Amino acid sequence: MKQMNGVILATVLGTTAIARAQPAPADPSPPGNSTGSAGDSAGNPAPTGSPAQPAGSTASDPGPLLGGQTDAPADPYAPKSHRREVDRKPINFPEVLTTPTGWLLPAGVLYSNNALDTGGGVTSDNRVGLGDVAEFGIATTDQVRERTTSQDKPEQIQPYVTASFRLGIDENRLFPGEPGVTLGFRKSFERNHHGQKTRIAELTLVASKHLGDRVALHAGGALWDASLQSNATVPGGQDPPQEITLHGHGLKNQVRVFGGFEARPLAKSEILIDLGWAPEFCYQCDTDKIRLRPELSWGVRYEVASFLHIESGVRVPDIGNSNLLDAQIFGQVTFTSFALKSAVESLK
Amino acid sequence: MRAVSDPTREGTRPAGNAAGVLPLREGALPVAAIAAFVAMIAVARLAAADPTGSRVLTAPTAWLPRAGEADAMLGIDHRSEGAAVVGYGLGGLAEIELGSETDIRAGTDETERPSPLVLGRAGFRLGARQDTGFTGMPAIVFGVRTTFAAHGHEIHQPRASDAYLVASRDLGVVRLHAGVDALSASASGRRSAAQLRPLAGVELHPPMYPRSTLFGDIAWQPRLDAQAGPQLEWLLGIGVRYQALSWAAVELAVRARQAEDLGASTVMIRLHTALAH
Repeated sequence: MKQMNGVILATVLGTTAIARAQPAPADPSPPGNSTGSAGDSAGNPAPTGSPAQPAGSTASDPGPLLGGQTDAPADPYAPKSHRREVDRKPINFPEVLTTPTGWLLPAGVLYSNNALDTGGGVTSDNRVGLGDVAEFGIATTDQVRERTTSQDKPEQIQPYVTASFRLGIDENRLFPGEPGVTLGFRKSFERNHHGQKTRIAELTLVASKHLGDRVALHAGGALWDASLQSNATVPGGQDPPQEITLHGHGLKNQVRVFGGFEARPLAKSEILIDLGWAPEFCYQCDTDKIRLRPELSWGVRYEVASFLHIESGVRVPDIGNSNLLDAQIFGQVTFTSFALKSAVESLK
Repeated sequence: MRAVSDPTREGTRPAGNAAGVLPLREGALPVAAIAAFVAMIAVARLAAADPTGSRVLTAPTAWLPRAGEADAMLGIDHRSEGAAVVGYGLGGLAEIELGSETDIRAGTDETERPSPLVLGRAGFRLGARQDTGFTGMPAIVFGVRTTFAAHGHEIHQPRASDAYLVASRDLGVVRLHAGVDALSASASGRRSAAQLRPLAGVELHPPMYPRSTLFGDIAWQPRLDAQAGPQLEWLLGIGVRYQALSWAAVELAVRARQAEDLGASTVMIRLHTALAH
């Protein structure tokens, strides 16, 4: 009997020593997990709590197959989530204020920007990110302006509906330090206004680069085109009014450089500045019936919530003539949504 | 809820005024604007809380509301002309203002006294708080205001816009404001080029009256004349503000214009509130 007691004591001490030498379990066993406290399927004793292993420890062990020390099998009967987690990293916006950036919307992200300004402009820009390499959008713009004679004050033509498609490469995708680059094309639907038929189109190539966490620069070039044709009826036998195009005025009147600047002095607030171009039609001008006017904008983007940004600022439609009277104060609200992306992920 | 300090805005200039007129040369405005931006962005960071109130009485201040803070001003003068302006702090860096005022006067006949013109006005102010870049740095704001609607007058297409750069510093008992304003206006097809004018304001906070503030300012505003075109005239204002509640202040002020005699000065009462969430 004494020999038996000695064996029992040695077994207990040995088992205890082995148990203490086991690594701490990654997580407390969930209730109902048969492999938790009762042991694993091989019959080995389950690790038990030790003084060095307080309950509730959050240390994770990837398991022996991944270089860890323990194997923590998952419950095969646990309910599986049908909703995949979507990577909701911060969105780099596709526009500064009026000019495009070299950043694209992430795949499946919906974007809606709706604006009002003191010039009476009401605009809406709606886009969707396609596969992290492209973006499609439909928008109305109030940037296209008209005047009858060169002495008149330019007025907005609105709504002026455009469709856009942009494709490009993310920042740092090809190599470290690579700027985001997009090639975009925007084209308007034909617009009849004041007896004139007009259209615009814009091809842009733009690069955007973050300089640290708080500053970003944008620079690009645009090739513009536009057309103007009178709707006036002509007597039978005569040719209809000739269409006037911007490309008919030469390439130098079509190509323009634009750029923007972003600074984030506060966590949720950005200062934005950009310089872009917008076409202007002059119906009765002898020359320059179609011109591109420089447009300077500056403002602030404030992140109210992850899905909602408020932007406000000043836009000077023709900064070239230093006309303060044309300055417009604008306010716009931007919504972004991962709903489509989540829905797509859930189908995979 | 919190209280605001002060508000108001505006300025005017007299008919035929020529003294001190500094027409902007072509291209000067964009250069000045870009220079102001660069300076402001360089120092833009969050600093200690500034006083509030976008105006002294007429002259703008460089105080900006905090992010998400809204303020409002309601006023009426002894001629029963009202004013209402609402402002919203955008990210702690800027403020957008929207409202209606009658600070600008207009007339169709030079022999008659100009009458107040009800104008919708919007403004955007972008700046940096005091002590942001270095200790002792004043608060700096670059702002643009413009009209977007006009009612109650026969004058054709009245418009007025201005861009200003103003600095403010809280010295304890005294708060000082100084800046420069470029004003432009048009009426009945006659447009004036942007002209530079100074802005200045002072506020006194007597230590024995912690809830009261004495203030005075000078600013400029266009007067729209259908025949002579837009002209600038100064506005001189003095008043008292009483912080009745933590979120509300009331002020009584008198404002004189360059083209008016002292007896025609305007007496007004204004209520300011500020709400923060």
